[in-house]
Order: sequence, then C-alpha cells, then structure tokens
Amino acid sequence: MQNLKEFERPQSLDEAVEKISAKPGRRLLAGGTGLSITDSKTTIGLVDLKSVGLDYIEDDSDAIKIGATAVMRALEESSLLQNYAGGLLADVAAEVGTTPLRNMITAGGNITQLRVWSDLPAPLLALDAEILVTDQEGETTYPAQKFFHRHPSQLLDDTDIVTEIQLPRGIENYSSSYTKFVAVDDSYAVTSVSVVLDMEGDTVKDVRIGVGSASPSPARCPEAEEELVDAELNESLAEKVGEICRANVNTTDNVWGSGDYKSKLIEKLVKKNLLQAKTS
Amino acid sequence: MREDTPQEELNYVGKGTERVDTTEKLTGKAKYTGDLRMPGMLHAAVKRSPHARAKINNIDTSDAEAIPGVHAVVTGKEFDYKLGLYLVDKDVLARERVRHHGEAVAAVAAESPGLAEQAVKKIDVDYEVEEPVLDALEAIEDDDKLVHPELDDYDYFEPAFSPQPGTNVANHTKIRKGDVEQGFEEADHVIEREYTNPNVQHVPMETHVAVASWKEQDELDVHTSCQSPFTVRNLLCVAFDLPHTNVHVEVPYVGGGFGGKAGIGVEPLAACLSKKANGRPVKLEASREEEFSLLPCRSGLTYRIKSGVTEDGDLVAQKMTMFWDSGAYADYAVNVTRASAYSASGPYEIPNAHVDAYTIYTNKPYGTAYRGFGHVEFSWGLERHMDLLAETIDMDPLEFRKQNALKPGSITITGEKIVENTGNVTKCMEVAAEAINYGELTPEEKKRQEETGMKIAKSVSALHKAPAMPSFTATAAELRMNEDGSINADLSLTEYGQGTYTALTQIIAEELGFPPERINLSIKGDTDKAPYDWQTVASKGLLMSGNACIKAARDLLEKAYQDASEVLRADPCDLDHNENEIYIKHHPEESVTFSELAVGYAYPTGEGIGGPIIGVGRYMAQGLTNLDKETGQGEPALDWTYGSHGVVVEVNEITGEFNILKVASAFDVGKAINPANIRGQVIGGLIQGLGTTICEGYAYDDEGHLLNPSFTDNKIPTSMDVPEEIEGIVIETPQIDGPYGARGVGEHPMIALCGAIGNAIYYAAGADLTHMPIRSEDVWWALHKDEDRDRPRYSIC
Repeated sequence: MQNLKEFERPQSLDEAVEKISAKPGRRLLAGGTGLSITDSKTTIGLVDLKSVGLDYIEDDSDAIKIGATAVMRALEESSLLQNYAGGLLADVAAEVGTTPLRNMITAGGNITQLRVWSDLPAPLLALDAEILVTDQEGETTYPAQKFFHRHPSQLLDDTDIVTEIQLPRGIENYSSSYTKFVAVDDSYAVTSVSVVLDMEGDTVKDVRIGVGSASPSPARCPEAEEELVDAELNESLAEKVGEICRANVNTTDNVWGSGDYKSKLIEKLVKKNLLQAKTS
Repeated sequence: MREDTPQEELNYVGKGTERVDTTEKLTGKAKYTGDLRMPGMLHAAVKRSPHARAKINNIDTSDAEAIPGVHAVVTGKEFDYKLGLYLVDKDVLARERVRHHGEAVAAVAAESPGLAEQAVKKIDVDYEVEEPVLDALEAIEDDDKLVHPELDDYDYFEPAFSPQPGTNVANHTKIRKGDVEQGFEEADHVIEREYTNPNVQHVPMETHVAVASWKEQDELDVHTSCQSPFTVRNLLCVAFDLPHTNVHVEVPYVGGGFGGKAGIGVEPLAACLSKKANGRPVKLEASREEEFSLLPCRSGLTYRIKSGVTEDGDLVAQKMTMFWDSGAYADYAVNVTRASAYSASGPYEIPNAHVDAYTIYTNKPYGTAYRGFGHVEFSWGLERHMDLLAETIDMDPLEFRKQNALKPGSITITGEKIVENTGNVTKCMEVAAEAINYGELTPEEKKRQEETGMKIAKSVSALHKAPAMPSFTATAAELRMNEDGSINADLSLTEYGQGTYTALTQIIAEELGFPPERINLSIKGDTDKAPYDWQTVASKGLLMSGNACIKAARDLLEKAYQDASEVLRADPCDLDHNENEIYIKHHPEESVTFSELAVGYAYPTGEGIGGPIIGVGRYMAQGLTNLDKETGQGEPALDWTYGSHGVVVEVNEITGEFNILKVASAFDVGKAINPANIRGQVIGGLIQGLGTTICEGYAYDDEGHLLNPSFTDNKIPTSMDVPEEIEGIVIETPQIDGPYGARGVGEHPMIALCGAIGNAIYYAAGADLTHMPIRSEDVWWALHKDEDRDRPRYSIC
C-alpha cells in the first residue's frame, strides 16, 4: 500500500459509513490480517473500525448477535457461543490460526475476505446465520446462503460495511460436530466439515451440513440433508450421505490438497461428524 | 582424548549442567544482530526477480535514487566479482541474467525500512523472460539451456570437486569399491527404485541479518547472524580484495542456523551498500518471505538405488546415483553432494559399491548446507529401500539391517576400516527396537487399534554421519586467567542454540578442576579477538573445539605450574592443585593461590615473576585425506556418529491420516558430556525431522515461481504436532580422539526418521511411498495407485 496517505478512526458506525463513502480508494480496516498481505496501489486511505463499537457478542431475544469486529479469541471464549448448538462456532474459532492471530482476526473480516483459510463461513451456513450489511442507504440482511453463494466481494460494494452476524433462535439445543482437516496444527484447512443436528430418538428432525475450504465458496449439502430428515441415522445412512455430499461439492486443487483428495475427505468427514453429532 | 576416564572420576563432564546462556535468553537480555541500533544506521531492502530465468536488459534506478532519504542504490553491474567457498559461482546481485525466482537484482539503503521498501518499488527492471530449466533430471541432459554457461571460468576447490563445464553439472563425485556388476551377478535378487525429496527451508527463528559499516581507509566492520565468522571474513576479504586486518566480523547471539547461515549470506550486500552510502552503517534484515527464496534452502534429491541381495540376506552390490538439484547456485551444495556420496550406503557394509553423485544447476532457489548435510534426504530412500530388500527375501527388516550393519572389521565404501571405537550401530538399533516393543503390539496398542479403527505398525531405521569438512579443518581455543583465578575463554565456534558452549565449559572445568561457574566462555564471536575456527557446522564443534579446550587448559595449567614451581621452589612434577591453589604434594600446606599467580606473582619484597596466565590449544582434524577423484577411496570421516530410530505409527487406511505415537532414538555419542543438552538436541532434531517428514517442501509452477513462498502455505510443525512420546537413548562407545570420548550429535536426530515413518506407514496400511514429505494425501494416493489417475501438479515436488 505504497500510496496510502490517510487513516481515519471513526467513533460510530454512522461516521464509518460516511468516511468510507467520502472518497474512492478508501478501504476498511478491521483486524488487519487480510490487509497485511495485500499490496494495493489504489488504496489511499484506511477507515479503522476499531472504535465503532462492533466488537460485541450478545444475547438478544431474536438472535445471538456477533459484532463484525469481535475477534476469534472472543468467539472462542464466549460462553454464549459455547452453549449454542453444541458450541460449534466457539469450537471453530478456537481452531483458527494461532492465539496471536485469533486476537486479531475479526468475524467480519473472516467472512468478507473469504479466503481459503476462512473457517467461519461453512459453520455459518450450517447454522443458517444472517449477515447484516450497512451502507449509506441503510441496512440489508443477507441469509448466509446468499452471502456466500459467490465471493462476497461480488455481492458487496467497496462502501458496504459488514456489521453483524446473527445466529437464529430455536436451534440452541441442536448438537453439532466439526472437523478441520489439517497437515499441521496451525495450518489452514485442507477441508472442513460442520454438522448441526437435531434428533428425536434415532430419527433426524433437522440437519445442516457445511463444507469449507474444499471449493472456492463454502457449500451446504441440501441433497444430503433431505436424505437425512425423518430418517434413522445409523452408520450406513451416514456413509451414504457422505457419498452424496462428495458428489455434490465441486472441489478444487490447491497447495495443500488435490480436489480428488478433498472429495474423499468430504465423504469421510461428513460420515464421521454426523455420527459424532448424534452422540454428542 | 581422555576417553578412558571413568565417570566416577569426573566432576563436571557427564552432568546435565544448566545451559550457560539460560538467563540471558530467558530474560531477553541476550542481544541479537537485529537488536543493534547504530548512529546513522540505514536500512536496506532488496529488489527481487519475479522470474525464474530471464535476461536483464536494463535496470532503471533513477526514480528510487530521487527519493529523499535514499542514500544508496546498487545493481549487479557495479560488482565484477563472484563469491563462493568451494565453487565461486554467485554474484552479489544478479548481473546479466537472473537464475531463480526471488533472486536479488538491486538493493537500496535508506533512512527507514519503509522508505527502502518504497524505493525498491520504484526500481524498474526490464527482463527478457526465458524458459527455465526446473527438473534436475532434465537439466543434466540439457546442454543447451545452461544455468551457468561460464562454469569453465569459475574458481573451485580442486582437490575435492569436479565441475563439468558445458553442462549443468556443478560437481560429480564418484565412489568405486569392488566390482558392482560382478556383485549383481552373485545376487539372487536385484532391485532398483527411485526416491525423491523436495527443497526445504531451514526456518531459523531469527532470519538472516547483518549490519555493515564500510569505514574510512577501507576498514569494514560487520555484525552478523552467521554460523562461521571466519568464513564470512575470509570470503569478504577475497571478494573485496581487502587485507584480513581490515575486515572485522562480530557475531552476537544467533537465533538458529541449521546450516542456512553456514557460509556467507547477506553480509556482502550490506557492505556494498554501506560503501556506497559513504560508510554509514547499513542493516540488511531478511523478511521471512526472503528466507524462502532470496536466501538458500535445502537442495532437492532424486536418489536411484539398485541393490543386489542374496537369499541369505547379504547385501552384495549396490549402485547409487544421486541427482542433487542445487538450484541456481552450487557453492555449498557441491559439498553436500560429496558428503552424501561417501555416506551413500548408510551404516551398512556393501562389498561392491558404485556411487555417482551429481550437483545439478536448475532455475530454482539455491541449495546450501542443512542440518544432516544430505543424509536426511538420501536416508529417506535408502531406509525405504532396505525394507523393500528385506521384504523381497522375506526377512525381518531389523534382522536384515543388523546382518549388514557396519561393525568392527567392516570396510566402508571409501575403504575406511571400522574399528571397535568407531561406535556401535547394531546396539543403537537393538535398544531403539526394545524401546518400542518392536515386532509386536502391546495390549494397549491393540486396544487403541480397536477403538480408533486405525492400524498401528512399527519400524526401526539406522543412520550414520561424519562431519563433512576439508581434510585439514582446524580450530583453537584461548583461556585467560583473571585476577581472582576465574577464566575468560574464547573460541570461534558459534553458539546458535546447540548447547555446545555449555558442554565446552564443562570440559574446561573438568580439565582445570575448577567449577564451571568460574569459566566464562564468551558467546560473542569476534574475528579481531578470538582465535580461528573454520566453521560451526557438521556436528564437529564438540569434538574439535572440545579437544582444543582440553589442550588450552593443559597449556594454562602448565604455565601456572611453571610459575608456582618458582614460587614454591619445587619441580612442577611435585606439584598438584585444587580449585584455588597449587601446592606441593608432599607438603600441601606449602601452596600458592591461582589468584596470586593469575596476572604475575609478586614476592613480599615487591619483585615479580611470571605474568598473565594464558593457555592456548589448537586442534587439527586427525587422519583425513582427499578422496581419489576416480574411485572415491580415502579417509573422509573425522568420526562417525551412529544412531537408530524406532517409531510407532497409526494410520487411517481410508483417509491416509497418520499419527506418530512414539519415537525412540538411540545415538552412540561416545560420551554424553551433557545428557540434558543431548536430550534437547534429540527432541529438536526429531521435530525438525518430523517437519521434513510430514509437511515441508517447496512447490513450483511450470514457470518456476514458488507457489508456497511464505508461512501461509509453507508450514513447519509446532509443539501441537509432536509425537505423543519421545525417548532419547544414549550409547557410549568412546571415540579415541574425542574429548572424554565424545562425538557430535547435532544433526543426527533428524536423519533417517522419515524412512522409519515411511516404513511403518507401509506396514500399517500398505502405502508404498517413495516421495518425501508424506502428507495424509500422499498416503491416500499411494493406496490408490492402481486407479490410474494423475496426481495434480500442485503437489510438493
């Protein structure tokens, strides 16, 4: 960012909206981990979101609300999240990078940048979360499925500010299971699978499966979920569902794994996490 | 030296004395080169090539020079000399051509790091991009696409190396023993296979950094994070044509080297920038990304092994061909090639052996020394191969190894005779095997298999390594007694984490009979003040500097005894000493204290005798010779340290995931001078070996761009990845010419670990692996080889 000349630290969301819209060439600064590996010649100003008051995680009657600048460490340590849907989001946050990174990486940055190491999108899909975005016109709410349908940069303008993630009420007592498949502990995922499950006896009442890092955008597996609902979850069904997920997620190659291997992992991790969620 | 001293007679040697640098390092008091701030100091930044191979048509530095606060901009045109220790092939900055992605083409010194970075971005380089040669096996055949067309003009160390001008071969080392073709005829089975290893980065915690000040009258001061201050000084003097009295190299604390700082690195460029900036000090500190591609890495290796074995389990012939991919420069890599050639058979006796080892230039980041010096890489293939041979004749692989192991009376492939005191590799294997309950699963392991669904298997590998260094490698130590009878000691071995300074302090203390607290071995290296050492590499420091310290201590005591004999009017042979005084054996009450003698003794009348008590010890590597260039016969090894790893691994047959449950490693260290330090070296080496095994390696695209140029994609293991159990075991077969019988063990813990793990994975799941590293996916692909699919090109290669 050799042409960077301005640094703004607005004290409210309104001021942030005003600052980011004031001039072209301004970018938002949240945790800074994404910006640190960006070398943009066109960025002339940064608008720091640190002081606009978006670092909350709070219980609200309609939803659990996670402010966009809440860091991974806060998610990891939040008792609210630890007790929501089997603690899925707290578990996911706990495995992001290393502790120093978790003290920097923000929830909003993680989902907006959507890089291969973004771990939140897949579980947010599985939780049917909603993402709030503010610009000069006002606030827009996107379901996670829409937000992550393509890369968020294609959905959002440069002046849009992701402000909040909302986790829906009604699934607090669902169980969940998560696997981040890595080569070494602090590496990013070759593939990750999140399962959120509601059972009545051995029968599945509701289920959501999110797959991360295997493809450019995180994926839900509706075909697999349909197969499960109202069925008896046992090993053979879990295996079959794994195969369905494998067939329905288009995987891609990167340095940490081939698409073929990621497909195999999806199959096995979906099975494993379904069975784990069932017993947890 | 003193190898027969029983432990009960030793006071300090053999004890787990606390490291001498503990407090400085734990409190942050220890200063590293990066901590240095000098008046007027400038900061350097480097312009690096985005291409693997290109002609440089023009470099426009005018915009960079125009920036206020920029004091020097240099390009390769300004330097008409090359640098090198064994093969003088490297420019300070690329001149007419760039030879690898990330190579330095220009550099800037400015008043802040940010300003220097900004100026570098304003440098405009006009490249004519060419197709790179990336595959060593293609490069050795391709005489049209030479990486160094001028190879014929380069200086090199003629007794040891054989460059092949007109080709991409920077060195060819040959070893010939017996008649390999005849041996194959005698064999019942002949098996040939190829094993591969990628480039790997050293990843010291402290990156390469130097601060250079080119002062008036061509006095050059360099502070640097390096392993070998005298090599840096010598190469700077040769390159800049300066007298050795003009160049002063200081080495503060060093945060790791692992071979990457063995030779010369960022020092020459920092010096040139300082000269151009009218002598202002210039700090050049590599970023982590620069460590991966501006600075050297470990060479890649393709190792082809053809072995002849009898039904009875005798290895009768082995043909070994090593294709070392040294990347764009081969200065240090030629010696890796040479060392791996004379060790190529591992710790096994081969009656008919034939080795061809080639150092091959390609357009990749260049290779240098790396902990293990080639042995980690070739032992991967060799140890897999040993199991393949054992399987072919249906023999237990451990028994097969033991049957063929080097033992007293064996002749190595260079014709060296192994004797009792060389060490005992068979014993290493036996204790490592015992420590993992080799050959069976314990009830707990069986239970674990049932619970996890993963398969558990075990294997044992063996290793050897000798220091790789010139036959006439030498060192020295100097001990000076202070007024209170304490000792200040100097030598030029660099302490960059190994713990050698603690062991040397124990040796000096033992030899003098003084407590270690009274010995101050200066950690800071200083070529103006401390005596010469060749380099801090090769696991030779403890043996060679240890012997120099023993000799220096004896010299110091001799001087003290001489002066005491005058004071006490007794022959030195009638004197003895304790911690504080020298006394007459028959009349112990007649004595003189070390404190009284330390800087010259004064009689009550005021007359003085003697003078400051100083001891000097020199040590020259004993009995080494050049190797015959056609046959490789000769004496290359100062000492051989043998070792063995026993590993327990569990594998998921479906996903290829595996966990290393236990590593038990045994090393014949001759004598454990400091068992706690050995444990540190063993654990550190094993984890580094684990990184090599499970995840590390460079990946390139077809144009030679590094696809994983930083920690983002190029990972090393952390404490979260270590095996559940690590056991380090010491065997002590004394080395006759080692200090108290000791040998080095700095590199050995990471050698042959990968082979042991690869073999255990094979036994657990049937995955037949020939490429390192082994990631879960590699196991998976190996299990699906029959499915006739091509592996995508992104894999580490």
